[in-house]
Amino acid sequence: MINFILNDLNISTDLPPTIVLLDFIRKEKMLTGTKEGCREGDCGACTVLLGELVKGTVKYKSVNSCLMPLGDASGKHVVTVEGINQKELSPVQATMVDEGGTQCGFCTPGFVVSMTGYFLNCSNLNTDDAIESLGGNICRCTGYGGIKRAASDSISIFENGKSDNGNHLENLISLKFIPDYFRGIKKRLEKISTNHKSVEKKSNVIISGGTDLYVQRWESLVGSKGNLISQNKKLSGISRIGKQINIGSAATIEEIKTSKLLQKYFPKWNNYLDLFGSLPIRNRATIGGNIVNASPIGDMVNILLALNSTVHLKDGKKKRSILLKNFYKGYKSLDKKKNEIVDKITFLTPSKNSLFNFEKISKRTYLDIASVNSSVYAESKSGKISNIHISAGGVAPIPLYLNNTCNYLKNKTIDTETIRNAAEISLKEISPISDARGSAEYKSLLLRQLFYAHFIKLFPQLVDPEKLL
Amino acid sequence: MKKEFSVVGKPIIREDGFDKITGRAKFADDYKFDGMLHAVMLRISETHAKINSINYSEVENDQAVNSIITSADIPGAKKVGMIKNDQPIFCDEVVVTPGDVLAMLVGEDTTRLRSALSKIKIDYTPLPTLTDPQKSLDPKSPLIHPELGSNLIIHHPLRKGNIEKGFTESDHILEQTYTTQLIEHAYIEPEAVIAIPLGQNGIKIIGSIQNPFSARKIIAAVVNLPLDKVQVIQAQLGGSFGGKDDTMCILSARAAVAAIKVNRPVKIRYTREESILESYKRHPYILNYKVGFKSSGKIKAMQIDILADGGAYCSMSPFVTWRSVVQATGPYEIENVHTDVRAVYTNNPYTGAMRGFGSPQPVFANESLMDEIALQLGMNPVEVRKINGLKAGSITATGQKLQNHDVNLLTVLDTATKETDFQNKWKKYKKDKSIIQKYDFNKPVFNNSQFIEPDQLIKKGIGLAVSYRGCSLGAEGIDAAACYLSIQNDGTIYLLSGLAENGQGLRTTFSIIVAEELGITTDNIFYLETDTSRVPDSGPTVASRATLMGGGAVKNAAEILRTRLEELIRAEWKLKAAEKIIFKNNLALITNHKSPITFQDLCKLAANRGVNLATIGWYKSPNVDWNEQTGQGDAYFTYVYGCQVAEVSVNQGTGEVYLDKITAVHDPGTVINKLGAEGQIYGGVTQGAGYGTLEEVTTENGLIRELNFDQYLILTAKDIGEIKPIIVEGKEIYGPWGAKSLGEPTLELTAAAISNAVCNALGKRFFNLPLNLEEILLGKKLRPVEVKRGSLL
Repeated sequence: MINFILNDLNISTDLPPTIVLLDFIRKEKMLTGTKEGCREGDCGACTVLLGELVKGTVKYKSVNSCLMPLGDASGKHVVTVEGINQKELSPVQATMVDEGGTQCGFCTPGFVVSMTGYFLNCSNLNTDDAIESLGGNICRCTGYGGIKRAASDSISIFENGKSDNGNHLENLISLKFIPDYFRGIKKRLEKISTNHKSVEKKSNVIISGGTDLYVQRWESLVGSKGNLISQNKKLSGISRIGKQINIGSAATIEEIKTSKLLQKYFPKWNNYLDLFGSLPIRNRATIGGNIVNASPIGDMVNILLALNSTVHLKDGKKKRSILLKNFYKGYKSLDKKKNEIVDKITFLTPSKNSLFNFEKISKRTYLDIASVNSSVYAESKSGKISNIHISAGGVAPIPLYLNNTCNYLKNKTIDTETIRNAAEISLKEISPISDARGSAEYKSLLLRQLFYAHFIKLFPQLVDPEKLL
Repeated sequence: MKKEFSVVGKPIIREDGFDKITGRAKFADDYKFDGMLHAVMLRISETHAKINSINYSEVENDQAVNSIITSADIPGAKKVGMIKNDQPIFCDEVVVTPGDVLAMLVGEDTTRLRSALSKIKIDYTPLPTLTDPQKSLDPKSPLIHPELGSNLIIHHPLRKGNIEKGFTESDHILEQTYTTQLIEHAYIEPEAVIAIPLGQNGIKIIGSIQNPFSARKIIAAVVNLPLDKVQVIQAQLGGSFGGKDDTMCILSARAAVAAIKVNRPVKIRYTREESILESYKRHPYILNYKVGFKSSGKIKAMQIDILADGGAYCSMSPFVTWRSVVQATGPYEIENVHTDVRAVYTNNPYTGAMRGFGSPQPVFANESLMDEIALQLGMNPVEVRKINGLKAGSITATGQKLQNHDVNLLTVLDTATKETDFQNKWKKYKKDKSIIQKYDFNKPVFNNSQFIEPDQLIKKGIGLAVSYRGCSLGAEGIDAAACYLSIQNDGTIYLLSGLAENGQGLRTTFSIIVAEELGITTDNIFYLETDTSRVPDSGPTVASRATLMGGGAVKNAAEILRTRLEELIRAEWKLKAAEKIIFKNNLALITNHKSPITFQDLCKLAANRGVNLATIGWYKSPNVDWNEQTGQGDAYFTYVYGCQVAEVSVNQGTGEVYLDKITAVHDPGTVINKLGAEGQIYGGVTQGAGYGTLEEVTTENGLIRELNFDQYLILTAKDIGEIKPIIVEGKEIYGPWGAKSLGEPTLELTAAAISNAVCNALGKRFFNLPLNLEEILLGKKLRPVEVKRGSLL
């Protein structure tokens, strides 16, 4: 049985855990406010909120219900637009109507849910962040003008109406952003959490999030006995032990993005990860799934390669480790046995004299797969490189570590000529193909540009842009 | 004197806002009926093939399959079309494009039905394909519809003045070729329809249907029933933009055939992939322009040759290209014009109506051309447009004299350029150093490396475009619309127009018109469900004609009922002719009378006196005329004008175009629904910006590569910068209080303005839409070879 709360209703179902949440909501529960527009996480019409007990409070996040296995709802609070509706419109809803934020209305519930999720999540409100939280919702009618104004108006309503000594949830309830049944969710979840049994089963199909797997082959997953591992607490968490950073394989990209630990070591961390997918995708996609998915253009893997990460695999009690750069054997081919799962990924904390940079170019700036991406990690003293790792995505059948380029740069002192030579070497290491993201020629050009951008940004005193001409 | 309005032009919120914002609004896929079955489509992955036989024996006894629906089940017309009946409901003889459907399986579970599809054995012979429209008229090319004898769908000539003389008198001649791409409507709601059999009473259809009356006509022909036995109800429509017309007519007809056969409700609901695969798109155009002009900037002659790829079916191609031939010169007065517009058949996905309807393509060409003329003469873009722009009394390319309305082209141009400080910025950005000219991206990719610090790579640019647009259908066809209006005894009102809500806010606009006319508020008006059995056929909701034509009918109905109420008051109080009655603030105010009567009391009185307070309003457009041989005549009875200014930043290193700000100045006549009008501008500009920079459906031998939103990219909230709408309300004698059109005018010129802005930034002109990364960096599109779903790249 899968037990969870859907809006104000306790659910117990023995439906297969691999069917997607969207189908359960629309077809089983007839809650038709949640829409199906693309079934691959690119439109956001099916957005719902997922509330989870974290350290004694309920944390909500927006997710694409079309890509989420029902089993992952176990022990959670699922909120659709019907679960936000009250007698009168919530401020988010009212301002959306008043500002012309809805026209045909098909994408509208998704926007309402995402924006409500923003208010549930965040007490430090500003319009830019609110719009950022809508990055996974597309609208073809409104041009977003009314929606952006509604975000700004709703923030004003909250700021002007909130009581300073009330807690955030109480403020949201009293200002009608959410119905008052939200108040009791925590207690109800505590009961469910203790009751529910893990839906994990031994299975050949391992689903860790599923944001890409369900796009590739949802029909085959729905019929399978999938092993859902993304809710496995043993696989979660981001921590530092000594000089080693550990990221559990079930950590989501959004957890990694917002990790204070990682932000401390990489000051622009949040900016880099802004360009990854959309918020609802980042909320579900896990690092383990991302690594095993082996997309040659994966953004997170690209960064991890440049951090010279190690993948830790386990099969029951058997454990082994392998450097990420040696993990990929060929297109979608891994050094991983059938029953092995990724336990965690680790890398060393950046040393004092280290620098890091990430670059990504895509057709559409946001919510798009990269055409080419690249990361660099370099340790240096007075411009002399002692240790360097560079990765390049979208230019080979695997997420590529630029071995020869790194070897060339090791123990070299950075100057314009060296960088030019290194770029030439990097272009000999890659084997781009022409595909939907661009031609081979164009990708080579882009990689060189990104390569230069790395070193101009990291060593502005040592690399002279004018001389690179 | 300008009329003082109570409701018109005020920000009135949508009448359907509550239902939509709470998710209660029911879209077609949200309906479920007892005993309802689902249908899935049988297709082959071929572009052009003769079907020899289809063997269903493997699925005949399949538990999942209740019924197999083939063309043998069609009681009536097996081929349909908006203009030409060239599109089969089921293509079981020949497939002419990959979206074609051969047959359907009907059953309870779509997943099981889909797996049953693979068991059907289809024997077919691939035929030679034709995918290059430039080869369509080559006698060696295969004929897409052999029975028609030619691949020419339509040819619209236009001849004005003496083209040779015009070129002879010119100081300069410029010739350019422009191309525009195939694009998808990308409504977020995929197609869905349910057919419910009613036995002797025919059939009821509920669907995501843009034009219920068009659908009714086609369904009736296919199932061989009279019109009164086909009831079409429009569910809430999740976006259309011209796209839920032909496809939905055919889907409705298929569902109807199946429902009648199995005698149970049947639903068809497309996945996004099926939607993009089968639905029609915007025509790609190849546009050749030759223009002759004096050193003063005055254009003397323009010769235009346009080829439109109509794809596998005729659809709306003749009308789409007709608008192109009328407007191809742009809003300029030119003595000598010689235009040929042709649409041809190919095996590509078929093309038809889409917001803009044959105008975004020529606007991109002629507005690029105007900037080129300016650059060649050392003028700025504003000057050359002022010299040639249409003014009151100007004669258009079709020989029509512009009158009876404010010809506000130069007004919108001035407003937009002043608002944006256009001329100063344009000069400054043009002077700023651009590296892209000396940086030859085509050749030495691996040669002597050139690189500039990232910040210096960002260059700013500003560009503008203007356009004019004929309102409503023009000489395309009969142009009239109806409205049903009924006042209840308590003063509440039922309203229903024959035009359909497509999400644009038509119901709100029409409610405002009634409220204004009767002096009441919109919350007393209940807009009825759009149903072909309740209101007269009013033609399609297309051509930005809803406010003008439908609104005209609504105003007519409201006037009729107001007149009856006035007559009642006059009789009841025995008023003199000089005494006036004003309907305002929910009251009827009578001059010299102390106490006004409330609208509610008045309606009650009318009921007691037996006054008929229900009526059908009607609005018929003024006559237009057209000579098909010469392309001369009064093409449309009135026009609207717009100017947009795009401000962009271009990354010269990567080819990324950032849309910083778009200022959109439009004259739609009087604005009825302020919130709706501004919404049209935001939405139209964003669609137009996507057309200019990002959107493209590409095909490989007719097969579409971008079948979902991971590949077919539209702008997100984060990708579009500030949009500033400015409305100039010009005077107009037609339409409700002089209200005209806005939906399409907002979209047609954005791409041209962006292209001109990018040119201003880089000093390099682009001739092919969209201006994506590769177009900007390499000056050419490099087509992908293969596309897989998800990350399987």
